[in-house]
Amino acid sequence: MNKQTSPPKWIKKILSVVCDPDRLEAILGDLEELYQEKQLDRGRLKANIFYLIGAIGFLRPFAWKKIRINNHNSTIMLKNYLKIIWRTIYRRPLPAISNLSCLTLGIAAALLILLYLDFELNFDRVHIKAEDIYRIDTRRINARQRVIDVDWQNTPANLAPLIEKDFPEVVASVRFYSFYDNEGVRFHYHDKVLEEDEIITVDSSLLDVFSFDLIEGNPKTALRGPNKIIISENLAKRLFPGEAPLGKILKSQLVHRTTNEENEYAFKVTGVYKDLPRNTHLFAHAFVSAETDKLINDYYFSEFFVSTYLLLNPQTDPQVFAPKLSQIYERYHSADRDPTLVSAEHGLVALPEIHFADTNGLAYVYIFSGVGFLLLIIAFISYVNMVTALGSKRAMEIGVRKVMGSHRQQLIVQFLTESLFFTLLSLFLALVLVFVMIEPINSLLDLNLLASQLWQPLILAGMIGIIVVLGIIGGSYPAFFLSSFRPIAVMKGKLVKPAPLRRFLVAFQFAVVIFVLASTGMIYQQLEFLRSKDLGFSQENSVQLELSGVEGIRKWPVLKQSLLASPEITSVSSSNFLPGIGGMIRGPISVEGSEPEFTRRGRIDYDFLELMDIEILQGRNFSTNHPSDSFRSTIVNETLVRDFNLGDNPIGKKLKFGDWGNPNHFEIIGVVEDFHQHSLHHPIEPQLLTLANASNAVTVKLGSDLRSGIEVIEKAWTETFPDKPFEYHFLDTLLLDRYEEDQRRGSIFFYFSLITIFIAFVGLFGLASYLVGQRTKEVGIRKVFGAKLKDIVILLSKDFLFLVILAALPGLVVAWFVINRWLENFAFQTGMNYLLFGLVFLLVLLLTFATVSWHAVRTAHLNPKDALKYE
Amino acid sequence: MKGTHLGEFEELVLLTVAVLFDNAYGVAIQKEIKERSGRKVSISTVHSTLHRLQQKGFVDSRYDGATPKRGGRRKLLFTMTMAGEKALNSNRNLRNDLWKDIPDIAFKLK
Repeated sequence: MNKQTSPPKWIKKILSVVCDPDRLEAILGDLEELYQEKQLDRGRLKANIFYLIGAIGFLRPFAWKKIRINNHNSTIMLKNYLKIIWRTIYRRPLPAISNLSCLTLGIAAALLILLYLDFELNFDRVHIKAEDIYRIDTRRINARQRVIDVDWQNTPANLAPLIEKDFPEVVASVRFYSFYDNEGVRFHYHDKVLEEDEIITVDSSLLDVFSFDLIEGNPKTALRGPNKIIISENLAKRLFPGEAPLGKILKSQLVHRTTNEENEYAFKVTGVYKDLPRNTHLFAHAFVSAETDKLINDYYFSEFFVSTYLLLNPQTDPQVFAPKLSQIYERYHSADRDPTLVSAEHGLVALPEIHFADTNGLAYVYIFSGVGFLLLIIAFISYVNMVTALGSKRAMEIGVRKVMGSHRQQLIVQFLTESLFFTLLSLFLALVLVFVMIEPINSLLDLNLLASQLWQPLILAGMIGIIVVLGIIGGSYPAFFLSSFRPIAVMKGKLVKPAPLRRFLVAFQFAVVIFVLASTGMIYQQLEFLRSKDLGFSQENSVQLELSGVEGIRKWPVLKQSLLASPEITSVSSSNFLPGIGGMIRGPISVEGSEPEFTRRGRIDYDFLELMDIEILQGRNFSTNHPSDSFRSTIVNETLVRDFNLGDNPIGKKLKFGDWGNPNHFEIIGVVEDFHQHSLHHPIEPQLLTLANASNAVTVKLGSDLRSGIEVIEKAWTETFPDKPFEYHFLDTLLLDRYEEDQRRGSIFFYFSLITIFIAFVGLFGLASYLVGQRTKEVGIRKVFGAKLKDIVILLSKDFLFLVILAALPGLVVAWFVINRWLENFAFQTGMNYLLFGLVFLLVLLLTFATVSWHAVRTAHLNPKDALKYE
Repeated sequence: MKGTHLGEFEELVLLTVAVLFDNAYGVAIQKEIKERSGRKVSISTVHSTLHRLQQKGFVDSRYDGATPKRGGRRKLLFTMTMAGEKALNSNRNLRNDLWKDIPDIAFKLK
């Protein structure tokens, strides 16, 4: 006989934890008996397996430990309370359901805001070293004897290697830029063509500093050496469906940013990284190794076009370190190579803060936390009001309970139980609602929120904690108020002192509603202002095309000819920037007797100003009659005339690129009215325009028939560039895209204000129904004595209207402050609309009157005979 | 109180408890059922059925008869109650009545 062995201990342990102690001995005994037999028969391993299978069979409810319900008095009462809750709902379902839905909606909205905040606050947190990564911003440019404050997110390209060499605080540096001029990069793979916007040139240190998850390829070597590319999983799937991407060659024609040479580059795919989450600002579909750019080591200080990120030692204080960066210019700047720029001052922005610094997002984080909190409060105020109101209807129950010997404490516990039951139920329903609605909401507001983010123990615990606290606070007012009823008075149907706090709560609610409505109105007005503001140029019926590279420019006259030949097309022009959208470079410009100043420069052709409908205030447009226009003449805007102090007659004044030592000069031949170079977040800057016959950005002005106009353009395009796909944008859509983020936030605000108003007025409706109902008898008596309908409605609603008037001032004042702060995000702001404030006030007054008088009219129409019988 | 209906497998287990008389515990019942009917049932199923029978009041149980084979643990022994016997009887009577009332012709038609 084999040696006796016993089954695995851990299985016994599990069973002893799960199973009812009363049956444990029988279970383990039977299992062991079978085990011993099996072991003799089939050996130890098989026996163990059978033992495990047998044990799993016992993890069933019948064998579980029993939760013993003790029959203490308190548990019995708890059961009774739950029963009463159920009966109350059953008897009067409408108020209970409206109550529950308000609370659920409030909590769900707050949860959504929580998700949104989570999304915003974790921006770029996907990078593990985020705390120690900083972007170098340029704050100030020192030209000769002149200091210019700037706010650029870029640095010169040669800065990073010098910093890394000179400062031990810097662990690593990464540069992001584009070495080519093309708007998008067109990849050719065999006969497949794919155009991508977000392709970034980057140092090989990218993978050391940032946490890109390389699925394929070696992170040590993937970006080392020229012509390497790593692509996102998404792009890999689109480029090479069903194939292994590593080692594939992608070809692309690119125009170098400084030499303007167009070359074919062949990129070898050396890595595939997991798609980035949406909440990172370093979003790219592919990264090209910086060594691909032959000039990577030859850039000099004067050009600011590279985003530089530093990984600092954790001990380094960025505030102390940032000023040291200027030493680089003292050490390496040479006046021979760069006569204008002397040095620059930089700031460091921590990676997690970049998102807020760039988009003013922090203001929105505050606004939305505030809105979420207000929503919760409003929902709970509605809840408390309804419960107190309904509680008075239950006065009889309270009276009977007291007569039967209920202590006040017991009644308090009862109402708290009810409140907790309701709030926890609402939380549960709200969670369900969020999980169901998250997808439609994401697509409605173009967000990428993940409901599963709520599924973290800490957040769940926090949520339940907050809800329980609010439930207790919300429940304690009705609990203490209702339990104070005196039984005799109550049983006689003699009610009841008015709840004093209620008026305050209702007033608060009105104040919030007025605040939210006024703010939403102002936000919409500003967004409308952005949309409709005259930008100083015409944007209607304009189609924008992009010529690619040298070939595009060479063939431009051909395209232009065939476009102009057709009657659908009013005019065409080419420029190297788009007004209102950007694309202009800044360079130093000087006038006689002053130091160079960084100024926006743009190239336009003869037709640009006319097509864009930009008015020439003084002088003339570029003209073919003046051959020297192409190298000697310039047109400037009003702001430049003002900023350079060119006086009343700037025509004929001379300007030079760089400092005054430059032997070539430009002569001002015209002044145009100011037009917006950028979104209305930014002010208008000095602007200089020079003549170029052909540039990359083409604008085509169509007649009234847009559809056939587009067809004409497409035909002309495919004739001129048979191998280039035809792509176009309408200028006005491009302009609107700039406010996408503002629009999104505006609509979030709009939907939440709808929810706020809904909750508040459903609460008001319930409250009014109760308060008016209470005065039924009084109304009857008044009618007997000859009161008119009008008198009664006024009598019943004047309390509420008074509260609205009381609440209006604080609500509007807070709205005024908040909106003022928000408007600071824009260089161009709509004025404060006091008419709107007045309208909001009237609207709330009207809504309140409608809500209350609905009940009032119903009561007033009762036959006094019935009204007097009302108890 | 649960319902007093006796399911097919419950009936089988209850009968086995009666057959084994003073030695009706999990493993023994499982073996007896396997020998007589060829049905392989897991030990946990036997336990859960016994649990249900006990809740319906058809069996009683007591702990007794430890053996070294069971790691020194006692057996949970089951005996049939009066109610159990009644339930078996009424089941059998029902079947008998039904058998009796089948017309002979029903068999001949096969």
